Amino acid sequence: MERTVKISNKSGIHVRPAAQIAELANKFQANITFVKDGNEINAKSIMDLLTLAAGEGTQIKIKAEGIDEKKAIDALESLVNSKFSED
Amino acid sequence: MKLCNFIIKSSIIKNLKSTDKKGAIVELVEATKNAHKSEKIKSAEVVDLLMKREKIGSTGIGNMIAVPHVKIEGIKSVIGAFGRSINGIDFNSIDGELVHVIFLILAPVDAPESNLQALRRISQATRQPNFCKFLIEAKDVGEIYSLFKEFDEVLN
Repeated sequence: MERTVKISNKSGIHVRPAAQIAELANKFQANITFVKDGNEINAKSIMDLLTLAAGEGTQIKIKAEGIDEKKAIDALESLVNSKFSED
Repeated sequence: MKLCNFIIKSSIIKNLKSTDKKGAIVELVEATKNAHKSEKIKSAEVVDLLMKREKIGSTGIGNMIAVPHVKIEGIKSVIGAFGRSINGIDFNSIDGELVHVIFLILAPVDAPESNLQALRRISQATRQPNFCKFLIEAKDVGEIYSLFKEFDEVLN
């Protein structure tokens, strides 16, 4: 399944948000990827997440496949919407 | 953005003298300041901000790499420095390993995008096979800088 979210913290996905996303994604069994402008990356890797250079206002498609895919997407969506406790 | 856009040859430290995180950050800030004399960098203040940032969460992102970064007033574009430590430095990295290559990034406070673009290029480069290995094996600053240029070309 997939869902589109919008990055709304001012600094976008820099190192700390990337670390938070990867840490959360790694708690799930599902295969989880983020897609931005057709570029699909592994959401369990900080390095991969940083290559997105996703700034404020960027739309990201979260894709998850696996037994806990819905839980994973719900959790990641709320993390993104929490602005990573920034701003 | 390319590596060579924000790391110039004179801001590369072949062998960091420090063996701890704070010392390494001080060396890298000094190197950036000396390489960019036209920018008004207040070293002590910048080091302070970087250390505060590290307390929130280490920028040791694993695979021997750290990317301490901060947004500061008074600079026109992203600038930075590179430092290498053969013996490794304890950065409280997420993978628990020592850090051998450090990229310092100072970004203008009014251009948050530029910080992301710099981080993007570093993560793209470090995902390339052998990038870190080559950096650790490089003999001198010239070789390190050539590697940056080479990877900048490959990644375009």
